[in-house]
Amino acid sequence: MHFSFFHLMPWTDLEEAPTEWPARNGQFRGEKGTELYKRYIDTLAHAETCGFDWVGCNEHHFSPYSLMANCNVVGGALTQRTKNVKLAMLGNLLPLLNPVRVAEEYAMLDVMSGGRLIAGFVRGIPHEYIAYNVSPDESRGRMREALNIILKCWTEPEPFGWEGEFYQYRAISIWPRPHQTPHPRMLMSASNKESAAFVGQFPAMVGLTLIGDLDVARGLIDTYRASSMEHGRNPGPEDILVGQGTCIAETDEEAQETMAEALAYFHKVLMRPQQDAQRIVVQKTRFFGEGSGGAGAGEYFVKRLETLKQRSVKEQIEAGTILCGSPSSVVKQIKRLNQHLGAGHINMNMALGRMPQTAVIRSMELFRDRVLPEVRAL
Amino acid sequence: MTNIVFTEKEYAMKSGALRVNTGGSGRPLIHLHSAAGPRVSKVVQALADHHTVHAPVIPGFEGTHRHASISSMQDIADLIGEYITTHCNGECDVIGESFGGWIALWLAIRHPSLAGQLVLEAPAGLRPADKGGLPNDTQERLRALHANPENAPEEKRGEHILMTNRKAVAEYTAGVAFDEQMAGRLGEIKARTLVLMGSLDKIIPPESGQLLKQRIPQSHLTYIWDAAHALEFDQPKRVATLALDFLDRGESFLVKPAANVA
Repeated sequence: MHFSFFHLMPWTDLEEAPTEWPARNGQFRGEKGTELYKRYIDTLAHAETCGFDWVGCNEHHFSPYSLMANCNVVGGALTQRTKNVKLAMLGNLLPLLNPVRVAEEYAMLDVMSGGRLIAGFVRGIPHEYIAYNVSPDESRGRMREALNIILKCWTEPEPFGWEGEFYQYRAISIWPRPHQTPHPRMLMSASNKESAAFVGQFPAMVGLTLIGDLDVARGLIDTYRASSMEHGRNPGPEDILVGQGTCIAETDEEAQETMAEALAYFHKVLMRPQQDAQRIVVQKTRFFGEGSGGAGAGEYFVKRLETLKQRSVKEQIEAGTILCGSPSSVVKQIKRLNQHLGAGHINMNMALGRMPQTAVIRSMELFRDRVLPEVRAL
Repeated sequence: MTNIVFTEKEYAMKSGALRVNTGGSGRPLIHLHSAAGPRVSKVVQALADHHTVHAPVIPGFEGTHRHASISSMQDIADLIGEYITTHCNGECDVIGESFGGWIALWLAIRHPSLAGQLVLEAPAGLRPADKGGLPNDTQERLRALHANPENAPEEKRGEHILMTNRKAVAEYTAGVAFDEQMAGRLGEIKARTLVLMGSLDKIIPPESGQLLKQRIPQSHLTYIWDAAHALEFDQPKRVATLALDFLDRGESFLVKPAANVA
């Protein structure tokens, strides 16, 4: 199996939950921000020495939940701080961005890292569309068209133009082209059947995060596989990535206590402000397709977040939505995920909420010394 | 796009009668039809809003008589050149769909002074033998032509006409997919050229457009999103907007005008 170390880069100094979205930023302090970026990039670089195959980061806007408005900036720093680990941008919020710019930045990262980029493309969570003033109703159409433009940007040998529904360009020829040929390995997320089938239409890995239920996750993976096969590909375990909040300590009790505190800050403070904005987008737009406000994928999205928030740490471990415990417990949990989902890649978020840095480093090193040797060969 | 009426007339050319449909007003523009034969698409209507569109019927199509001395794509290009000389003041822009794009290329090679600017819609004649091509199965062929079948034109012509059209294509092209002689002369083309390719075209592969972009000195290649081979029917608005802007502004079409500039 393969493993990645993922970081959201959260702001750690909020004492009270912001009550509205976007969260006011008057309490942001530059010195603390600089310290956090240094710590987080040091931690990502340390992941390479802990045996992780990838280090990952992603993009969010207008929230203390994540300080990464552009994960490619962090990726640029990591190209110079790491040597062999893959750099996974998980990913750029494609429908919100200029696709040519994304193709260029990803190509730069791929060349700067000597071909180590994993190019992630996601639609993002609903409220991000308010941040960049893009209609959520256009999200799927923009995603599909932008992906096709990016593939052209990376593979066309001659300058070309594009006349589309959302994007028009009269002449494109990016420099540099990516280091990997024909293009960097791609990853796209799936949170419902429609998106799982969509991912299968492209030469891409599928990524599942915020899993609420292993059986539902299995269904999404099956949908992705079927769609991929319809399009002439036969994805293996290495093409399936599952995201998991992770805490490893010497004992189960210690790990669970640390995780409980981290999740409390994550759900009750960091995630609080976007709830209202998220609800408006889910209920009032077709972000999750027709009828998303009342039923189907939209309803599932909201319920899934509520369920995750309300479950205890033990219930989450039991449900397969987090990895938490002593090294031997986490080994068992990873084996269960591997068997149940056929997933060959786990994306571990070990720096949840404001988990103390000592606990994060301890998790990483216990993973290296006592978990990885037991699960690498799976 | 207004509903412009096209008038049909026959002209006596050196080799025989040439039927031409003409409509609109403005700078003359030759529209060369595809292997499916002449059809007044929304694109042709839009072009006629700004140009006098001359749409010749290639001899042998639509039940017209073949000319004894016209047997190849080069011969057709010469015939169109004669028409431009005699009826379009000796020079005009040319737009060609697929089979018509192949003729337009030969016209620009053999008669550089007659061809102003070229717009080539998924031009045939430069298809690698192992890629693309027209499927034999009718349903498969329709899917390959139209990504948006709801936009496909209703076929009102009889089977006899369709059969003679297919026969004319087969005889003019002699079954050639890749015209080596033409490919070797693309560098001679002086006309500024816009090549349009459908992003979903499985009949003419992207390699054809890339070759044209590579070899024609002043050329632009643009993909039309969500279009298969029949560009004028799949995405009429995108094709018309781009073609008209290119024909109107030439190389400046690369630059986006301000929103409030008419």
